[in-house]
Amino acid sequence: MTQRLKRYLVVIPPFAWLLLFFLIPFFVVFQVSLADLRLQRPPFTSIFEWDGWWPTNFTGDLENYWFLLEDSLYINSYLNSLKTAFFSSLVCLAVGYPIAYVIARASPNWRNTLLLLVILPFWTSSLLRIYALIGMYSTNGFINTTLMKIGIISEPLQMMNTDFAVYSAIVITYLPLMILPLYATLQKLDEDLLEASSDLGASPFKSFWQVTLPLSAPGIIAGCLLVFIPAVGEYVIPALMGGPGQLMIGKTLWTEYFNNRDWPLASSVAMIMLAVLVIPMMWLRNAQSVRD
Amino acid sequence: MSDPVGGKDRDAYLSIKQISKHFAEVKAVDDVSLDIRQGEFFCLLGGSGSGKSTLLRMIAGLEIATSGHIEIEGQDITAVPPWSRPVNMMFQSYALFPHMNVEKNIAYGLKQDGWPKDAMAERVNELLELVQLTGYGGRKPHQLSGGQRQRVALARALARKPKVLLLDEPLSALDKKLREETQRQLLAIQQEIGTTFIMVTHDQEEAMSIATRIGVMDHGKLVQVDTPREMYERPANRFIAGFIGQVNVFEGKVEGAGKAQKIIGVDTGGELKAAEHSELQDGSTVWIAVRPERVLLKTKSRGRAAKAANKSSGTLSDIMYLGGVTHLTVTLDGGKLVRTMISEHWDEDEAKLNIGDAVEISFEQRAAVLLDS
Repeated sequence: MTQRLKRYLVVIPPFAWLLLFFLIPFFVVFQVSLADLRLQRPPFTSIFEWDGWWPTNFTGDLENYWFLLEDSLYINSYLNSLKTAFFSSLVCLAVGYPIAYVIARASPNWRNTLLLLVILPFWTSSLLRIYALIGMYSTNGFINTTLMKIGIISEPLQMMNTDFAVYSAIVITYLPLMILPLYATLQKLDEDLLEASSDLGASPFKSFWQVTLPLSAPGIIAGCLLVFIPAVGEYVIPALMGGPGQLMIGKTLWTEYFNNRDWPLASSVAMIMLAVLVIPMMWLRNAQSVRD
Repeated sequence: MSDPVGGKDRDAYLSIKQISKHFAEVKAVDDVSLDIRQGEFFCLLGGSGSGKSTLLRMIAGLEIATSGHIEIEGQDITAVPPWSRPVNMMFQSYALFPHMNVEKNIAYGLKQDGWPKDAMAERVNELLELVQLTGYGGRKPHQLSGGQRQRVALARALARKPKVLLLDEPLSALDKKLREETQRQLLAIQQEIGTTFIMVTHDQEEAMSIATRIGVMDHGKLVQVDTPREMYERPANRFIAGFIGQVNVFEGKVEGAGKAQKIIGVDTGGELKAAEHSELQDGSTVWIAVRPERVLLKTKSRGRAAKAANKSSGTLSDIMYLGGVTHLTVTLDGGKLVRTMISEHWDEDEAKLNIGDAVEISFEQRAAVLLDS
């Protein structure tokens, strides 16, 4: 009996936390997404009335969701966010893999120093890092003035408010999230396997494709998810560095909440974003557990 | 040129010439020369850190020699990268690819060599049959037992028909019973396919039971290369004598020269006579090695002190009955311990031996080996 009680005591706090800060807010947002806009405080209608403890008179509908489908603005925002997140993840993978590989193969003394260098940027605020990048990219910023001084260019390059600015900022911000899981799997890779591969006639290049890469798949998947998921909902980078035509769902969400004050519509945008992220992840997890 | 230990061999198939490997300050392998004949089952025997694995890895190309050469069939392969060498290695950890099934693991080397699909499948089946794993082709390594994994590793290493198969402690991960069974299988497979095997082991019994020849390594040096019988009967020095089986070593001082030369036992006091030896320097120290089973034990005959050569008296200090054999320890009057054993039927007198009995040990001259180091 006391054993069981102790077990509950351990399990309850995290569950309570999830309930309070995740599940309840989730249902609040979901409920708002089914409501209608009104010009009062709060700016949405109630979708049911309380009859004592029981909700009655349900008036919610999926109108907001239908609206999202009708206006191409939202679909384009979603697609653009997914595209940006997808290519940022690919670039992160391409840049992060060699870095993780070198760290994993480095001597133990070097390894910790290199890992520290990867994590170090996380110790400064991401907003600060983005403003630093803006300082580099802007018309009279560091890169332009340097290039002009050397004489490579005569006119400043337009880097701010371009795709380049958004992509490079996302890659720079999220790169450590790619490197760390890749490092973890590559570091566990048994050196004997590479020696066996080489002994059995595979050149180092072939060994990499046939042994190292397939065995680091878990790290690749984890790293890509860690970059892709926050990148889809990224708001700060496209807002500060992207062009006005660059629709990303995080930015659209902000506009709906704070500029248009259309909370019900904004809530439905958030719900769809969650679904877009969670459903493929659940599918991926499922596929992985079936394979094992 | 030729090393006194490795020896030159006209039929040398694999020839190691004055090879060394230094890791920073440490000489892991120190000027080793060794010739191995085709079809041999050669064992490299030594303790940990003796350099035996490093030598094996240099043959595989996984370690680059600091100096020296390796030749196979007269061709220098010292500078050839591991993936182009006509040798294959079976790893101590087996190093099976965890993301591939048994079939793909075995076919890995064939795939690198660009074998056609049909021939590859046929060869894989042949190998599965050889290691008695037919029907296991679709399993992943983690679904196999230790012994099965060991056989997959063997099949994979044999797939490309290497000129020399290198085995790095292939049996060390198996329990004792399975190990003995696997030793027999390994030997049977080697005899069936006739490939030259070089096996590294730290287990002298294992080496004795399967090797055609043994090379004993110590501190990076190859100390002696011989057949198991020669190694046991005529060890080159005290290290080998103690390493291969059990041994009693009696220290002796050389006295006199020429015909009158004698070796006087330091512990026994009496004269020691060895099977053969050339003339020794007067006053030098030598050692006489005698295997426990060659030491004869008698209850002490009353009144007569042991004065004859290779004879000494003492008390029986330990009896260890092991079933088929009984190990006995005798403490000589000078305090030295001598081990002996009785393996066949006990006769009546011996059956009455008790700890503390006064006994007399002796050994025949031809059972004694003279060692000068």
